[in-house]
Amino acid sequence: MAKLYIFGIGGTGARVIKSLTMLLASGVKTNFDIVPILIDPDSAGGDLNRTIKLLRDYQNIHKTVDGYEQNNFFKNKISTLSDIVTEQGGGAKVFDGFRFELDGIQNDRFKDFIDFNSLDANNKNLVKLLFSEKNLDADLGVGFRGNPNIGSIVLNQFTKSEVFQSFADSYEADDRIFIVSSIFGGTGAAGFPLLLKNLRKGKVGGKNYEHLKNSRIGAISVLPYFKVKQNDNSQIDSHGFITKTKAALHYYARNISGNNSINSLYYIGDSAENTYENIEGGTNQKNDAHFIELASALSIIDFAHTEDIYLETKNGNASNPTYKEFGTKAARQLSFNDLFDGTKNSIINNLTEYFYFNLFLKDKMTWAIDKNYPFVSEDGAKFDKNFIQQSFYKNFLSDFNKEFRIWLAEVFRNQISFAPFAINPIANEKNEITDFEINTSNIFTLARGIPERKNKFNPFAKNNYELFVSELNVASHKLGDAPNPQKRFMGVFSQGTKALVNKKLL
Amino acid sequence: MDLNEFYSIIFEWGGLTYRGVFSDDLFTEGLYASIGLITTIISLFLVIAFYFIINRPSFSRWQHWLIMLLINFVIAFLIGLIVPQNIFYGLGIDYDIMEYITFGLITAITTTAFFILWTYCFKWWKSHAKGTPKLFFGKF
Repeated sequence: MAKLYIFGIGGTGARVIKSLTMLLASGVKTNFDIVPILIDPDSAGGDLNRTIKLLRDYQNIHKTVDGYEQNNFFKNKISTLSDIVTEQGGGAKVFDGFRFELDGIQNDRFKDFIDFNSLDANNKNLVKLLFSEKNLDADLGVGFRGNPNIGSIVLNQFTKSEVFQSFADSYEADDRIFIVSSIFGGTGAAGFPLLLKNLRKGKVGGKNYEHLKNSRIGAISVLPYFKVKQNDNSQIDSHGFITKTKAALHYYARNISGNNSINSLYYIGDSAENTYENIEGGTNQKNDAHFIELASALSIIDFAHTEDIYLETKNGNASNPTYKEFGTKAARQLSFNDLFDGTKNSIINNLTEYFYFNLFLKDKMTWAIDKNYPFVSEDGAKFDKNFIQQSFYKNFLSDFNKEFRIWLAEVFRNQISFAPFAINPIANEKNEITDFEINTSNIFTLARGIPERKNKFNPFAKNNYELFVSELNVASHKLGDAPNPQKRFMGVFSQGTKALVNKKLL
Repeated sequence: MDLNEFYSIIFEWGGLTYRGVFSDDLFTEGLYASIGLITTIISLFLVIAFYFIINRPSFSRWQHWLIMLLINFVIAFLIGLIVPQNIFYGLGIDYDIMEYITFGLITAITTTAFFILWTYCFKWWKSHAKGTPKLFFGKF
């Protein structure tokens, strides 16, 4: 299968890839093997590490259920660059994970990184012209804190690294590249043009890579969609977001769109009325997931489904570059109906099915085991208390599902709010979302704006969880034999929730 | 072997519940055949109702199956009690009420066996109560 390398640069990159992972888990497909490469100097970044944990759980689930046609969840393969290199028989030293580790920045100030003290007087003065004292004293271990001028220097390291070499070696003619970055921060704003320029050169480590030079490249540039609280001690000041964005757009106009170096460039942003805590980096930099990130993830899906003919590249120049923006029908609280048809149709079934799957596992799985319904105990199934104690269910699926619920509750709580389901986010004393709950006994009223399809002429019609179990029983019976219990489990829920959603909602 | 003879063996439990003249009169009037057929059909209907007509997850556990079995028991008891009484009354034959009650209980117990038999014919089929009940070991 062809690969889609996704470079997620900075915190926004990680958060968009997180949203993409949620979509892929729900069954949205790209027809590519997804290879996320996260580039973020802030190794302790809360958002980054949440994304990495999520990707690992996804991989573990995917590996267990891979190849089982009856299952639609976690269907799209996600690989690390290391997996790809190993599959191709390579032995190059690449990072065994999703994040590229930048060398020489841990506990280092920027001035140490550029060896400022060993420069002669003239060069020191030149550097002082380009970088403020604050810039020079900046601790690189927590990222570039909104300073693309620092990022552009430090991130050069990536394109000269062994990892980038391995990436270039593994890149094949049918593969594609997508770059996710924000335009108003430090890491993303610096990393995107730098990375694109190096890709289009097609020259890595002294070797020429024609495939890479003429690769099909898409990117999303996320414009400001939040502000941070004013803090005089912080180097991040959201008053500069718009100015930085303008400056970067001017640069892009010449060096990205101006020279046709990209095949598809997506822009997205919001009026940025949303205010986050001003955290410069580290474990506490955990922002609520945002609809913009979900919409950005959809740009990756859109790019993956764009036919090759529209993405032709000759001599490092896109023959037919396209520029896209994203819009919704409403502005503040969105349900599925507030999305335009193309967007809505690409996610509504999958997200709704996964939502109900998740809800059942959260609230009713133990109950179903106690009741010993046919789908847990008949037709070859054996989903008992032992099954839900095994690592597949307990460590991977349950953890992933909890993250999915937190993600859904975060996009629900955030501004703008994406609220396709009527849920109540649950937060801890630090106001971090820990889960959601539902306040209705009729689960088919949860999909906002989508009326429940009722059987008015049958007073005995099954409803609620009884109908849910009924569909799971039917799916289980139809499934026949499955290669292993985990595949069967996912197959039953995939088919069961599909039938349920089709019958009652969509 | 005709139907009456067949059911007489079943309802007399191979001679264990043979009650002399009362059983002879039941046989002579062909009541074993009629009561046997009625109870066989009723237990079949109740089993089919449980697995395929009611057929819903909220009424699929062994307790629900037991409710159906008890209904089956009561109906069979009433049939065993009332049908011979009416027939014999019409013929001018008089027995102590305990004879009828005893036969009612025998009929109910025998029909319970029919119900269990039908259960084991149909519990493997596709339904929301599939596999219910497990009375013996494993899936049985």
